[in-house]
Amino acid sequence: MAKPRPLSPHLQVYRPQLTSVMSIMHRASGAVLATGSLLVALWLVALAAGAAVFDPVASAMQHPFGQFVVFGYSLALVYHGLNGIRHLMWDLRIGLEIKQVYQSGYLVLGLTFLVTAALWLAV
Amino acid sequence: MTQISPKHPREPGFGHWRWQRISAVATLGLMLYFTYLVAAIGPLDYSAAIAFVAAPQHAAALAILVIAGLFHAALGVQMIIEDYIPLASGRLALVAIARGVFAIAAMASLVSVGMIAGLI
Repeated sequence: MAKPRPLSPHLQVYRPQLTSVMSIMHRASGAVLATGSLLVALWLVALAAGAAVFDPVASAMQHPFGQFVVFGYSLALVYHGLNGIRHLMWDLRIGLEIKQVYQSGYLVLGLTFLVTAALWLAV
Repeated sequence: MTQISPKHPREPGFGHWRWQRISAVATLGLMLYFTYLVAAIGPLDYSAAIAFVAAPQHAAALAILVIAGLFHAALGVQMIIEDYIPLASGRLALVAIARGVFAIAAMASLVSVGMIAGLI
């Protein structure tokens, strides 16, 4: 076996920056959503299975831990959705200057907080 | 290593990249639609949830969301696995397992929506 190849970037020596932190947050929120989407699938299956199966699921979602999970899912969804728009804009070659990347980054973070708060205040 | 060749403008990986973006746009639009609807209604009890999903426009949109969203999830998880799991550590098997999990979840969701909508 060849000598293990060095990993890049060297996370130990890299100072976290808005760009890198938001990038890994996009991946982390995507992983949360991928896992959460399986729970949404379970919710649909429980609903199709009837009230006897669905009611315990609905009350589990009202439990503080259930609410924590739903809140985490909503936060990940809002961030991943907003930052996803940012990524799609980059694909269209919009906002690629470093200054614009930082501006859109702070905008996404601010909107994530506001939209998630608005959602939970509205429900 | 795959050589970038003018004869093959669509190198392996382009399909993944393109479908990731197509499924992203579809998921984004439908998620906006359902987040708006659910935020307006609030928590659903059994009969309210059945009535919500059974509405034809909701059932149809939900079916597309399930396909686009879980497809997007499968592509994203594949990317994470490929970045961190070496080939020698079972990368291909893990990707296959992830695809299977999301395919089963999509099928189960579609059958459930179909049953609730009275189509199955």
